[in-house]
Amino acid sequence: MNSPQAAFAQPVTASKIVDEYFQRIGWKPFRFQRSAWRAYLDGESGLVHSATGTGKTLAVWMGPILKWLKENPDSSKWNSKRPPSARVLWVTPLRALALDTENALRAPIDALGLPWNLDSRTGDSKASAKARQLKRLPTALVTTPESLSLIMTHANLLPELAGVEAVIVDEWHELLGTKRGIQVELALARLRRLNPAVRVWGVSATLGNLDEAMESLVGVDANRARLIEGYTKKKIKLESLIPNKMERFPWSGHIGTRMVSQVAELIEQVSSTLVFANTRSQTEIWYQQLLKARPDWAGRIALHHGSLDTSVRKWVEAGLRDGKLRAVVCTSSLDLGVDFTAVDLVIQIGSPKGAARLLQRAGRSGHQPGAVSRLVFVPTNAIELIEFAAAQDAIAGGDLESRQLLDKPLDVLAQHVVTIAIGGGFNSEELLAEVRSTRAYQSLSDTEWQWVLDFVVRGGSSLTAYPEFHRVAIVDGRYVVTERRTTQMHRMNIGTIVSDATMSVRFLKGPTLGTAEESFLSKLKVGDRFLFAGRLVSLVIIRDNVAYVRKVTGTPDTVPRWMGGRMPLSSELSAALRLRIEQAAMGQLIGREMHSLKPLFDIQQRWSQLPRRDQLLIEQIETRGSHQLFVFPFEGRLVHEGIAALVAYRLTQRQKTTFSIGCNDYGFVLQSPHRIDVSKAIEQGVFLNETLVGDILSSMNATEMAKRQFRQIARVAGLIQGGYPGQRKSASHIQASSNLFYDVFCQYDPDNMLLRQSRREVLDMQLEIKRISKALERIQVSNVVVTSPPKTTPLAFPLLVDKLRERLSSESFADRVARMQQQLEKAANQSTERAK
Amino acid sequence: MNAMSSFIDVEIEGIAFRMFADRGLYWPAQRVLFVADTHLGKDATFRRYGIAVPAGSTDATLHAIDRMIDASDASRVIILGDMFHAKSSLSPSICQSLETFFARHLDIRFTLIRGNHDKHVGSLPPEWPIEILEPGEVIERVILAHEPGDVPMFASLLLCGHIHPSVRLGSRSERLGKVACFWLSKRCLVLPAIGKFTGTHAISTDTADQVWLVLDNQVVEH
Repeated sequence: MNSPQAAFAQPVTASKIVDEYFQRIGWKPFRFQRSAWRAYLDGESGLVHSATGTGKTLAVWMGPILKWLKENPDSSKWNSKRPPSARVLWVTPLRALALDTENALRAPIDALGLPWNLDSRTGDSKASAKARQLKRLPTALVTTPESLSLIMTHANLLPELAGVEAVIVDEWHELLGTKRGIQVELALARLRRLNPAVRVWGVSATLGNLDEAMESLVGVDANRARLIEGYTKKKIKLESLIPNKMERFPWSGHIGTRMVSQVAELIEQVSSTLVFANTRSQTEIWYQQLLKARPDWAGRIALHHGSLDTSVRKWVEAGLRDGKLRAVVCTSSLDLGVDFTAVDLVIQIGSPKGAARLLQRAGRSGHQPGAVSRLVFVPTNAIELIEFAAAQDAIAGGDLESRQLLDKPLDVLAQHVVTIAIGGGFNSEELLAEVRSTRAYQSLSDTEWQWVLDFVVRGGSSLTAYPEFHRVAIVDGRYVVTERRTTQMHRMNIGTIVSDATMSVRFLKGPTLGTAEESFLSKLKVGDRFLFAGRLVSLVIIRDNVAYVRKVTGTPDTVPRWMGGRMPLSSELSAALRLRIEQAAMGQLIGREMHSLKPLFDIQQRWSQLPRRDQLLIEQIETRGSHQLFVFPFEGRLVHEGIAALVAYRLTQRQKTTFSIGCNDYGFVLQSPHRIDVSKAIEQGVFLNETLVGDILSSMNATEMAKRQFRQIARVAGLIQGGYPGQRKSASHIQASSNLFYDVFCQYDPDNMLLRQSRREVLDMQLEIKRISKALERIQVSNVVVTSPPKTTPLAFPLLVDKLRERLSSESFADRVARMQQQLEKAANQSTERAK
Repeated sequence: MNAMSSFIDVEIEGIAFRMFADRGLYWPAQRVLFVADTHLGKDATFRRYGIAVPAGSTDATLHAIDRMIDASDASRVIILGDMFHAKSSLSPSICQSLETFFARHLDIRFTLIRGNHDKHVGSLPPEWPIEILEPGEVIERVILAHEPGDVPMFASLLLCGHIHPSVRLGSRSERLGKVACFWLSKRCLVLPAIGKFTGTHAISTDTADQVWLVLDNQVVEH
């Protein structure tokens, strides 16, 4: 073990204080922590990664503290009335976690008696705190990506920002691949320009593409950066809860609450448990079911998710720590604060859809560093057991998911350019060079840059002249903002991107329960009952962006959509899954999960087949005059949606027919009134990779998807004015929906780069086009096996009962409307007949 | 040569009307063409506030009115409120577009029924050939307004706008989105917003109501 003394040029005082501190808290620094501190003191940037949270915060936080101690060894000169100027920025993705983080960071500062000023700044911060920070930044500031952008709009803070020595980005794997992560990249580039010696340290879960994660943090020009692996629990015990009665026909839509009593028994056996579910609505259901099974647990189990009010979350965290609560039902690891205590047992309901995620959640159990992490998996349908077995394979093999990174999104750049124009102004060449130093924009072309400048200066391309447009102006060759209104609107907008349409949920005359997505609440009618924060409530009224509810009894009206959460199977997990199925095909059942599925596998083999990895299974069944084609690529739902639409489209080009499409993580089904000659279709190239993009866009409701994608782009680029609840309605005459912008751009500015971006994002993000392309390539070299099972097979059954179907046909819009009207007519007549 | 503007003929409260897919209502017996919620210059207003909306929607709105004037025998055009979006909508280029439009229809009498946005816009250039009247104007037994409201006993029908009505179409498996419409409810006929840069509001209808959907090239009864 390296001695701490070796790390410091000036021995004794600094390290002595620190050693005393660690002795006091009973903590012996890990090797990886010392490596991180050494690297920091050497002026390096880096990324600390591991699946668990153990010690990562201290690994990055002590660096700046140690350096300061080195430079200020004489504690008699420390004056808390004169705290050091801004030194460290700590960026966290969740507003709700900022306070937690602040408290965790404060502990060593207080213990060491440092005269440091530590504060946080998020959208939730009090106005007085914000004002104070704008005059003088604290020594250390905990903030969110958007608040960091906001700070950069204040030109007077530039000198202080130039003095910042370190930026620490927490939960970097969560920000990576998102637009807020890009915001951080751009902010870091700016800080590097202001202070070339600034150190950037990221804290992350272990990912498949750590080098890219690092490059995103330190930029493409960096030459010194360290990748440090944090503490990894060697002992993880993963087991599954196998249902007493194994159905041979597993369906999705089955909540799995049949397992409630078994789960309750598990919880009973330990002191503390975390029960993870994949969506908020599932947490609500499981919470209710557990209470029903164990009424004496009232007050001893609780809900926890990001939408809950801070006071509730705090109460839950404290309760678990003090032992008052024995179980918490929650959605995501991220929502659990820094200080969230480790538990005895983690229960995972439903497939986590990714190996890295599974690992991270498992890491929440096991108190001491040496303790075993225990996770029990509760399948919600039988096939998920195969997923779980596959996930264990992936973890054992180190195949953790990579985060897909965004490539030069222009909406974020446009927003950043206005931010810089406000915060001091810029010169085009300099800012372009700065922007190109980020991983995300390294390939930004001159044309694209010019487009962004034109967008913010002229309101359109350089060919158009809009004299009335005012946003960014060019004054003496510098890009600046001269109108106060522009500054105000921009600052207001930056903050609203994250809240991304959420509404407060409140009792009519009572406390706030939390927040929920606007998309969910806006679909409710007055009187609709739904579960929230563990209670059954009904909607009274929505006003000023607040949903008022009252407590009711009974059962919920809205049935939560169960599709195993919204995340599709990762490609790493898909590959592992296909291997497991191949093993089953060859009679090799490894592990309890696979053995328990033997009856299912037998039927599948008898009626159809279990595919090997070099095979593609297609099942053709006719039921009551409708023909079903089940295709099983095992590539995840999103990829299947793309391939299904593609195949349906290509088939309808040759044969006049209508398809109804259903997809899940294992395959898709095409249902039509006509029989399809599969071998002929394959001969004709239905699975070909050529013309993939064009065909996919034609096949899917690409416009609908692009509009959905455009929603966020419009917000980020500043087209949509966010506004806060209760805000004066004077901004109403510049409100327009993103759909309206989309239509107007399509019509009058079709080359608009934001439109292009939305289409590209549809391909990359909504459709996972690269994965589709790879899947098609794999299918090309596969042996296609077509079977005609006598009945619906275990693999096909979930697709059959899934009622969420998309329809695809060569009908015109008017025809579709006509057909829809006919259906309504029919329904109306039927109900009239019944009423007679 | 402008494209033909398709239409259907309807009878409401005993009066024959022609509903255009270009979102106007023509009263043959009176030779009046009604449109509502043009929101001219809304794009210019957005640009004034630094929101990059391309130009073109205002001219396109005016062209739609051109087509309907050509396709009918209209001698009068009545705008049922919200002609301009805001004061900043009267930019030089927008005013230019409108002046060219008026010049194309020297023999048409233009009337604006004052709506909520018009109140904020204030007075229009006095040389423009358009009169501004308050809601409540009557033609035979039809009363004209901007917003829907109670229909007085002496009138059979109220024509208005303001709502920008649309119907949400779709079922569980298939969503078609919002489709603009003409909406007849309690003797108020609400016209769809003709402005090309306007949004719509999904209405909830009673069984006694009548709705006509405005699809791209046709009007169909719902």
